[in-house]
Amino acid sequence: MSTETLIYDIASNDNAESRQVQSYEHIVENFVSRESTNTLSADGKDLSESIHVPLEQIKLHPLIHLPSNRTLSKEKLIQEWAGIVLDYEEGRDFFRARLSDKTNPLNSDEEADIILSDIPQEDLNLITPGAEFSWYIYYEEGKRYYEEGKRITKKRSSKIKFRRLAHWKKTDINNAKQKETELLEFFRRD
Amino acid sequence: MQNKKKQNSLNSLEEINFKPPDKNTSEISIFGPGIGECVVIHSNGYYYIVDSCLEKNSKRPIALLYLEQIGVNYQEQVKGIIISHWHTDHISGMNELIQNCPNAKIWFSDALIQKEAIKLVSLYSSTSMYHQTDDDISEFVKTIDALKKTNVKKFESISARVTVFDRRNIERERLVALSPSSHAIKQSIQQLVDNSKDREKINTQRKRFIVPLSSNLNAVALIFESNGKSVLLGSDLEINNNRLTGWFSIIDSELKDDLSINESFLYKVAHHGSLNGHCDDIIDNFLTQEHISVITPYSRCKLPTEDNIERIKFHSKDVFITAMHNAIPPERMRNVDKLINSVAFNRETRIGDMGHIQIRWKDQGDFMVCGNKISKQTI
Repeated sequence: MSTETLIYDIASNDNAESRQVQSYEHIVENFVSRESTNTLSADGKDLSESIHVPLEQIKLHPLIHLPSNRTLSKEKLIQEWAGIVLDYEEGRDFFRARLSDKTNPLNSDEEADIILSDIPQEDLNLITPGAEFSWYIYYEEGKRYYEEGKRITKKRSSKIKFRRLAHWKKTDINNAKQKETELLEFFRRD
Repeated sequence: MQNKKKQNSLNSLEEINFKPPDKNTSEISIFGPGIGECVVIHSNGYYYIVDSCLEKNSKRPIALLYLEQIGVNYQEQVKGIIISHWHTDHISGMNELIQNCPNAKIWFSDALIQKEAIKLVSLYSSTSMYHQTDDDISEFVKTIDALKKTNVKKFESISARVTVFDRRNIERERLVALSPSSHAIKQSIQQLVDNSKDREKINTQRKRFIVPLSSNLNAVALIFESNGKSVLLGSDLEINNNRLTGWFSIIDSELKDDLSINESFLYKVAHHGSLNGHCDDIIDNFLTQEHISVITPYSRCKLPTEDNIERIKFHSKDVFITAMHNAIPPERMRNVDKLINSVAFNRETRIGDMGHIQIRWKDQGDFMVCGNKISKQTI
């Protein structure tokens, strides 16, 4: 077996980065054979006789880290509501909603007309009386932001997301039937 | 409708009396924060609670807070809880109320414990997927769980002519239901059947707002008689085209004569003062010419309207409302408010501070109307 290129099986290691490693230039002097389920390398060579070594015995090149000069953006939540659509008519560019303050739960519920332009395209067909949504107001930090031509360090943003309703599953129906039996038994008059 | 002759308004309005009424003093306390209502009745040392709503800060049932405040041992002294109908503004906190009043019998409409209603409730409570849009169902399930915890079947169905208590032979006191009619109950059950169709099929989507709004047909109107005076509690009862239901059924079935009901000096106005809740025959036959009206608003639908209030003022000696429509909006950071206003407009706050009107009277004596700062404004 050639010792110039050693392809070894690291299938037992779940690390995605490690899985990408397919070859090394180093020759390993002491190696231990391991079974492999994959018999072909990426370039089609037969690996059935590949020599496998424990990872800790392989001499690796030191990792070189080149830090980015980009700062990761952060989001800081400043206000959250749970909303319910109260009224919506096709063709209107807003819907009426009840808003419960999740940030300050002691605040009273409010009602407001919400404009559709702030609703994600994929959620527009979910707007119907009774539909639930979450509304977040947050600061974005760490990028370059401009407001009225001036550079600012953080930006206020708003995001509205509608909740999807699941369909009934068999387990739901079965649970319901069991609950129904229990309740009818409880309310049965003797 | 006869033109009611009006006298001067009440001479005295007092601050809420936070001492408990003595055994011989009758009391009706009506609470309403803008959305929601609750009535606390005192009779001969016992308390009865009709419906429930929450105090906005503590999120606790207002009835419990009030009884605590006046030093009543509600675990012992609350003898009955009446759920007039199953709408969120009348049942918020009902399960907590029931859990804290183990001595109370619970009264609710027969329609709620029919198979169709149970089926609907079971379906929507079988998973944790029901959420705040299903407040009605969620509260119903919690209420049943609270009933089950007591391990005693202390509930009764209530409908027209059902008596909650009758101590007229000793104390001249009783609490009796004027509605719902048997026809209204059947109609409600039919609506539940219609609403249940296809819902228990696999792979069909859940629905929102599953409690029928028309369940006002099933609302329980009550007459409370004590110390020589009567009070009519209108709940959300309405009129409609079918005279076998709503207020018309009470008139047509001659309940007033059959049950020897006296005219009431106090009226908890039906359905938040709406035109649908108004019935001339009820005003002419069940209320004194000098009666006082108390309105609990439903701010979400802006009830009562100005027209509603004018109409009620026309036939009442005095009118009180527990809250006004627009409560004080919550304070937020200015820049947050700015962003909110760029997305949401016509913002209104619905539930404000709790309004409370307390009326007490003794045998054949005058009655005393007390209120907190909001309800004390006459309109």
